[in-house]
Amino acid sequence: MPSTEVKIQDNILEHPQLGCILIEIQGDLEIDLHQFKEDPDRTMQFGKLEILDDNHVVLFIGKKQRLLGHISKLDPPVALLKFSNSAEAINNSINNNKQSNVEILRIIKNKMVFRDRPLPIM
Amino acid sequence: MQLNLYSKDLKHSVDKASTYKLLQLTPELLEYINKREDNKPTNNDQRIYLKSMDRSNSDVVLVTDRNTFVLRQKMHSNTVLLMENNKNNGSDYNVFSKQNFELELLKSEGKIDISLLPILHRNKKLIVDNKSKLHLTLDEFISISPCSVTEFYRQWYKFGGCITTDGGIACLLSNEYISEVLHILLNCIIIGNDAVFRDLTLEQCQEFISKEVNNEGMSIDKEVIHTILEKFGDSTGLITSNSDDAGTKSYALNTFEIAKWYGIKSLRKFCSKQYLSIEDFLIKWKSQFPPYFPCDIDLTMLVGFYVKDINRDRISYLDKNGLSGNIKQRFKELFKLQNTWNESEIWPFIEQLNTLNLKPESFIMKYARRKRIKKNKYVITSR
Repeated sequence: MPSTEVKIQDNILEHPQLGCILIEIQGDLEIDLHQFKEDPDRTMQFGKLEILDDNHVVLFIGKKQRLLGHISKLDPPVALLKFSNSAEAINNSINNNKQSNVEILRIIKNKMVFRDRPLPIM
Repeated sequence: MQLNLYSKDLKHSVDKASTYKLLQLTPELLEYINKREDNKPTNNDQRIYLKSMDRSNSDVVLVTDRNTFVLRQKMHSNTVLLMENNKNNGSDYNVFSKQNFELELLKSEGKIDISLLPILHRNKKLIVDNKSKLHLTLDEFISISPCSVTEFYRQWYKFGGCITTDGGIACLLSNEYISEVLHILLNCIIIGNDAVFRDLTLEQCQEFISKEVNNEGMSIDKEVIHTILEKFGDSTGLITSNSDDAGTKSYALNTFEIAKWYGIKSLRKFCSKQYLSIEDFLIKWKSQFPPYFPCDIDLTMLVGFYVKDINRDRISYLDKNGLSGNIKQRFKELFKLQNTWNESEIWPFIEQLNTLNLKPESFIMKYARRKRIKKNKYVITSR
């Protein structure tokens, strides 16, 4: 029955508000996979996020669609867990109790929720 | 404010060295993390662990120093993207993980599995039968047990958990050994402490027992006496001799628990293979205590350990661990022993199979007939 300690990063509660963003879209987000064919590690821009005020946000996907959304408070918040899967990290965790391959990186208190159908960009 | 959003091909270009999961915190766990932020832990306190539930179950539990939570995977069909700030450009954000589920925490009661622990008998030999494989120190056993440290100790002494003097191996005291040491301790307190069962310290009890057993050429380890005090005593605080003294833990022996232990022992001894009238059993039970031990006895203290023949007012010992784990089969076995049961007397034998936490009467009526015989008194019969 194995066990591992969950390490907790310092200052997880006081990270900048936009240090880590959680976006929830009701439905699928389809990104054109052809662009990754040549280089799977390539990073491409798929959209823009506009924060209108403390509560309202707009997500632009490509050049044709936009989604209206809002910032929702998570109550209670969620913790972002990182599992290190490398063999070295797992061995360290098994052989030495002080080493851990699981850590809480952040506490996320807000998420941006997009529930409505996308609107066309005119 | 406008942010540029970037993504890799998350299906084919994932960071295989690490994965990310979202864990829904409970208010208790959030408070625990907040406290931890204020006060960095230096020892095992205020740490968080992930442990596997048991050998047969793939569930994972998260434990703090006081609580245990079972992790459940809550799937969803929404697109949930985790994005982080690009260090080179403050307005650029990269998707680093796409989430298909969140981990939900369900508070549960932490349990310890003692089935593989060695048994310590009177001759101080650890009996390691073929089934017993665990040869661990107490700290090692705590670290693999799927429960918090507080919950662990709450159950550990109730099971008769102890450690060996040489090597500190976690083990269980045999029932016979517990009964013997308890009997000696009670005798010693009655003689040496004028039958005062309060404000007892471990050292004091060890001294009483040493005087008694040294004459017989035997010795009882301090760890064994400690287990007996924790099992049958309630902590009453710390006794200090002067202001600089950190204090010694003191106990008051719980006469109810002691009487119950003697009752179960008597049931095993006198009613294992036969029925005995309740009147005769009570006499035999009383005769088991050390002379002048002050306690009241009542058959209701032993509910869950006997089967009663209602018509002839006699009882027999029944071990619930020997009954089937299938609820229908268990009811069959119980009705084979007696066709009519008092509701309060049958409930302890089926309670552990009520996994959906139904009301007792609703649960019983699913498998048996419930008949009212007096106001607030019901009997259970087969269908």
